[in-house]
Amino acid sequence: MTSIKDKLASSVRQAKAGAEPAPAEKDEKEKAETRKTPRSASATAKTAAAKPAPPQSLAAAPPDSAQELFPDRIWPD
Amino acid sequence: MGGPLVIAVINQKGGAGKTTVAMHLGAGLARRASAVVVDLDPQGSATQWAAAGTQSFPATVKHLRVGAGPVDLRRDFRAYPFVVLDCPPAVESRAAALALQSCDVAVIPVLPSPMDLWASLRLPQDIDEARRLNPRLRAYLLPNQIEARSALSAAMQEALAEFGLPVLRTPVRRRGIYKTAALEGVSAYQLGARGQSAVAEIEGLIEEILA
Repeated sequence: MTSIKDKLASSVRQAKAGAEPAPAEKDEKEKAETRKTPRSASATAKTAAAKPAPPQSLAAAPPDSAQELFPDRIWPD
Repeated sequence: MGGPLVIAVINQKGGAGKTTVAMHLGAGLARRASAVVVDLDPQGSATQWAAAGTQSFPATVKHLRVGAGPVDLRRDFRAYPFVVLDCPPAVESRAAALALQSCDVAVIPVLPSPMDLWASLRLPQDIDEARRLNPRLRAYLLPNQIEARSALSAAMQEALAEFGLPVLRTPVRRRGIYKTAALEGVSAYQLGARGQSAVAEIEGLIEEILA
C-alpha cells in the first residue's frame, strides 16, 4: 500500500509536471489557438441544441466517491 | 552590505499563516534591535493585529499600500535594523514583486496540505526570476502549522524536497496560542508561560534566519 508520504510527494511531482508544459508543446498549443476561428453565436447555439439532455435522475449511476464511501449500500435502480 | 535585514514572508496561497509568522518574526527580532513589520497586504491583517487589545505590539507595524509610484523599501525603512514584510497572497502583485526584489531573505510558509503544496509550486520560479534583479536573495520554505500526530505533517519533508528550495529546520506548529496572541494584539512573547513553546520555536526560526 502506498504511504501518505509517497502519495503526497508524487502528487507534488505530478502537479509540478503539469505546471511546466514542454516548450514544444506550449508552442503547438499557442499555434493551434491562433489558427482557431471565432465561433459564431449560431454555431454555439447549434452545439447547445445538439447536446443530449442531462439524465433526470442520478440514482442509477451514483458517483464513484459515494460508492467508495458506502460500499455496502444497495443503490436503487 | 549595510542597511536593514529585510525578511519577506511570502506565498501566493492565502491562509498559509504569513501574517502569524511575520508578526512573530517581528516580535522576536524586536528583542534584538528595533524592528518593523510592513503590512503589504491590502487586507491589512497585520495592522489589525497590532491594533487589537490594549497592550502595544513589540515591533512597529506599518501598513503600506504599494501603488503605481516608486517605492524603495530599504531606503524608506532604513531606520530599522530589521524589516519584516508581510506580503499579499498574490506573487504577481506589485507589492510581492517589490518585496522579492528588496529582501535579503524570503520565508515561504507552506501548510501540510496537498492543495497548499500544489498552489505553492510556482514559487521557486518566482524566486529564480527575482534573483536576476536581487542576487542576494536567500529563500527558505517553512513548514507551518505542523501537527504532532498528523501523517500529512510527517510527510511534508519529502514533498517539500520537490521544490528545490532549502527547508528551515524549525517548523512552526499549529498552536492556539498564536490565535490568542492575534486576538489580544500581542505576540506569544507577551503571553508568559502560555506562549513558552511558541516562543521557543520562533527563536529557533530567527536563529536559523540570522545564521
